[in-house]
Amino acid sequence: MPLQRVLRPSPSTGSSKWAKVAEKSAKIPIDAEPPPRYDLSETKSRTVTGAMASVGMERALDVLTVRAKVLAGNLANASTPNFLRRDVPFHAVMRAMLSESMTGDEGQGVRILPVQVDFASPLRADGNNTSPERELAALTETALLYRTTLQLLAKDLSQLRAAITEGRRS
Amino acid sequence: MAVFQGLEVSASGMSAHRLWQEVVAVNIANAETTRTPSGEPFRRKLVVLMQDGLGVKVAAITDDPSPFRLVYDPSHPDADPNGYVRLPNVHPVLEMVDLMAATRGYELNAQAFSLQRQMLQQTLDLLR
Repeated sequence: MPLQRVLRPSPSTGSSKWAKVAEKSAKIPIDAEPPPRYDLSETKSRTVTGAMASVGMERALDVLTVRAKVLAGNLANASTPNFLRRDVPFHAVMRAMLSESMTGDEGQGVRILPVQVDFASPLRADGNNTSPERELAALTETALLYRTTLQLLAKDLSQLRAAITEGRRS
Repeated sequence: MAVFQGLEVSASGMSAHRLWQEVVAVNIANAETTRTPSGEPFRRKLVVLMQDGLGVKVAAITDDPSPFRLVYDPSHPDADPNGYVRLPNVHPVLEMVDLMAATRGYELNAQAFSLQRQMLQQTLDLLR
């Protein structure tokens, strides 16, 4: 079961898991001042089927929504002096979330999304390092991923409906 | 509401950039104004943008402290004894550049708003 092994999280204690994810995924350090944090503890999956795919898709939608917010914040601050761009490392977060689901380890700690401050991108003269094209590209990517995931989820649900109605049109 | 927080973030960007556009309009309108309540010529106004949560806000509208333009025009009613008039420190070309920056900023935020609105709309469509 090579897939399982790859996805299994390294043994660690519950709440520090996200800090580890952030560390690993980050080439850039976490902000010194506490960055905005998002609590996903209430969005634990409640699908009827409990299917792993639905769980993953729901989580993906959560993360993408937060990422869209953060990127919109970058665009809103495109002219704010000394503003550093932020981002949510979607792939790293999803990998960590899914590995938890796969092993059935839901954890008791609060799910916090790491919002990373980008210290690496070059600064403009006004101390701002956002780039409108980049933010808009990332936001568009997020919106498209969101749409795709949503359509997959809808397909999943329609299959469930087909099973309930025994294949007849409801 | 957390669901619409992303829209609020983009809306804050839109309103901040609109206010910036308005301030530019004030500067252009007063480019030749030699009398204000303070007794001086009009001073160019600047917006100070500040981060506000995820969004942005206009923290202050301040005066540009740069010197006034001095123009020799003895016939002007506000000319000093040497015939020089102090005109506002507004340079129309700079204002137009600022206006473009503000407009582009507004458009960017409108685009971000629309993308997020689509995301919400698609989610709501799941209910159909």
